[in-house]
Amino acid sequence: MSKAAQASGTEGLMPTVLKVFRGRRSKSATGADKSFRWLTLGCSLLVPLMMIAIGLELVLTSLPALKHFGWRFFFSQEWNPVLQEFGAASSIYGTLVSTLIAMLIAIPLSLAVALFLVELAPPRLSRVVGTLIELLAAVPSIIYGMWGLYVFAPFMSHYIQPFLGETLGFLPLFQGPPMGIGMLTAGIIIAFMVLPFVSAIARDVFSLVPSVVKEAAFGMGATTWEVTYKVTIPYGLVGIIGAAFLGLGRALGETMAVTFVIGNAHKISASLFTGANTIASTLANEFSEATEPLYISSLVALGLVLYVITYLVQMFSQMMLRRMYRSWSVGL
Amino acid sequence: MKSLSATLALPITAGLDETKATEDTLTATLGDLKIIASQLNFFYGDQQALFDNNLEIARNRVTAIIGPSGCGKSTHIRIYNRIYELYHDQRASGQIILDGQNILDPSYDVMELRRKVGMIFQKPTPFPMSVFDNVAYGLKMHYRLRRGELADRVEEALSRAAIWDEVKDVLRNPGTALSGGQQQRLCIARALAVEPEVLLMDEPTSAIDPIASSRIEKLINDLRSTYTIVIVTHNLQQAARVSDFTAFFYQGHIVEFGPTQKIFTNPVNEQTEAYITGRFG
Amino acid sequence: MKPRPPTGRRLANLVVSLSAGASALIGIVILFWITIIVVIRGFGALNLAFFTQMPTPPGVGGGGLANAIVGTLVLTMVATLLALPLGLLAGIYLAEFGGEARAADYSRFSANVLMGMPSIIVGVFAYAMVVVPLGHFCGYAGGLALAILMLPVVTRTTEDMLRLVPNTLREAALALGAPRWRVILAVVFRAAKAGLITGTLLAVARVSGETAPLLFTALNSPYMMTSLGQPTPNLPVTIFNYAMSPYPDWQQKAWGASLLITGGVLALTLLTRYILGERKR
Repeated sequence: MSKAAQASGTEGLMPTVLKVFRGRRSKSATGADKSFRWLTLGCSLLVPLMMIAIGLELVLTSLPALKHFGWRFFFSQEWNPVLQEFGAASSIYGTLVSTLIAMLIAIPLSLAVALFLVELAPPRLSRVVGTLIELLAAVPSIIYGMWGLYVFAPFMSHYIQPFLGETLGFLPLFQGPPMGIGMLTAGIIIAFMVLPFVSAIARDVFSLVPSVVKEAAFGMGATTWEVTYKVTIPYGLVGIIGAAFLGLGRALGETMAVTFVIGNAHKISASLFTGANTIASTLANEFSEATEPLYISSLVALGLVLYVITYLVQMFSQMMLRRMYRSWSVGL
Repeated sequence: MKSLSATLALPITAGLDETKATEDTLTATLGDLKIIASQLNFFYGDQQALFDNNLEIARNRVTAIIGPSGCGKSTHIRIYNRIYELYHDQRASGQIILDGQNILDPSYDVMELRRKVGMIFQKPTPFPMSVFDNVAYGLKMHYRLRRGELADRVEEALSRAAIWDEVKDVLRNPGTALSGGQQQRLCIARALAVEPEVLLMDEPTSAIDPIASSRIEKLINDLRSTYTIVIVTHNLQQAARVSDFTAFFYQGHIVEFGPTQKIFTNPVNEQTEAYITGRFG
Repeated sequence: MKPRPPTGRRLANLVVSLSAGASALIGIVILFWITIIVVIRGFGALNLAFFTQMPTPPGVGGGGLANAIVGTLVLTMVATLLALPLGLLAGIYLAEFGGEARAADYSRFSANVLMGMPSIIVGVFAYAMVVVPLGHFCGYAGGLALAILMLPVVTRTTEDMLRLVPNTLREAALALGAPRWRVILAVVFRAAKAGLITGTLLAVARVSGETAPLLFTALNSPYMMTSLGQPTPNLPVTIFNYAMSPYPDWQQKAWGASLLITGGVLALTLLTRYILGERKR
């Protein structure tokens, strides 16, 4: 995720050079250049086009369900393919709660990792550890799912969940049989999937704070922690918020890992130990089986909700990150 | 007190008597010493940047460090508050005695050192917080304050830095909202708040406009009787205006050191003279 | 003012530093935990039969996933053939022509958003675009979905890599009278070759492990693929189906396939890192 781009440099010489030999170039070469420019422009517009097309498609296909169910689609927990009664509430709830758990774990963890890599570890160790953390992002979602289902969920059910039940069992969150699979496990796995992304940006933020400012803070006799939380983090707050929202966006859309461990139960319950479902996991589990138009339309409506939320979160994150990178390049 | 003969680069033609007289006068002039740096060597990785530096900083006086770019001036004073320790590949050897204790000794408390020895940087570095919080930053770190005492101490520091009147109504505004010259005085106030004994100034006015610069120079003048000040500057006129003693650095070596008057009017070393008169640098 | 003892502050710093180290350690532990599990459980499944034979019914044992391996390779190739030229051209526009213009900015923003979009949504789109009109699941839909996922990655890395090529190179080529498009395709590309290759490899790595977009586009099939117009066998969906099944031999195969995919993706990722690292030197 490093910012490998340097500014494209001065275009100053370019017009002059172009003017100089424009006379020498044949007409066809200029024409070819123009066509080439249009071709590449067209290709660069493909992605924005794709985004719009996806949005449109989702809206169109979900309209029948939305028209049929109306507003209660978003508040109903009912999900019955037999009776053709569908409600998005449990999926939306599951998506939001699993994401919340993931972010509550991932954000402090990412900041801690960034702190370690930038301020504490010697350069060589920092490089090695940094690469290893980034490799977490390379592991495909389904592999997290496999490991989650066969290894981590049993681990949760044998050790972590009983422990939580004993200590914090007075909270409805931690009541119920320690199944292993469920909301909590899904949230934790998502946290690890999101960690490399958020920590990579947080690393950038911490490194981009000018060393003069850090030196001034250390120069007053502050400890590393004091400098980090009183100076570095406030200084780079915009970037950190951007990083957090980027992670949030990814957490919302995690599919395969969640599908393996969340249990696919279409109901809202207070306990984090029970099964649940997210929009993504429902789509993964049920889409290929759905045949009735209303069923498909309802599923796509879920997809539309996810699309919209993700788009907004991403947009906000991009805004923050751009502001950070732009102000840094301008300099103090 | 140590002799400075190692630091004085003796021209071949100087007579021994003359040297002895100069040494005695210098020792007498220096008076009470705040900092004694001896046999300082500094390395960036494998590259040596400072060679056997010996320097004596007089108490409650202003000592200027001059020399061409890259000669090691900043590197030298950055040893005094051990700020170089932030960087894994930088290291220093030698001794720096501050009030009888070697501050380079690993057992010396670095945090207390940095309270005693404040640093002002070339670029003003207000923290991302309000003017008030900037000054309170060090106070809250190093001291236990009674209620109401914090506000008093902040006001006192800002007054001592000659900026109180300008900021007293905007204390809650971000420190970065001030002008360049004001930001630098804010940084000075921040350093003064924790009652340091030494102030290290690394080219404090080179990024500031001339009018603001002269205010800071006046401030240095006002502060000199209370604090020991070491100022690195590439502005020779500033060094001449502001300092009592001057050390001339060249390529990591201290070429000459003495009372500012003498360095600027009658330098012993040819290189010093060449630099002062602008023939290089 | 009473000085504040530094022990509390030191302790807090120590606790935080240890937590920071612990956090990094947790991340590494998870990585190794997953990798080791996948190797241990998958290794036993990877015999010659795995790579050469067709799937057998559950409980029968033996057989392999040759069809899925071939299918994944084909689908990835289709996606690359679609996304690579389009992504390269798009990246060229952003680096060479677009600059900071609004259209270029919006394109970059969209690419970033698409990269963060859940891949299953892209699958839904491909389903609607290809599967619905055609009436059945097919490999083309899967290839399209994967291509859409690859496109922004290729675009972004192309732009980044092209920007790294110094302008002096472009100017020199242009000064010789070559038309812009030739300069870009012949000269600039050659200079950025390593970076472009690694960008493609990264995109391929990212996409070859994707399951969600294939779930209802290419679907899966127990037979060797004959045409892309039909459901196409592939490793990720096979893993999904087999892992969720109650049959131990199928689950074993799922682990084998997991090892294959994980190994491939990690190897590609490390390879690209290595190539980029070498270039920097």
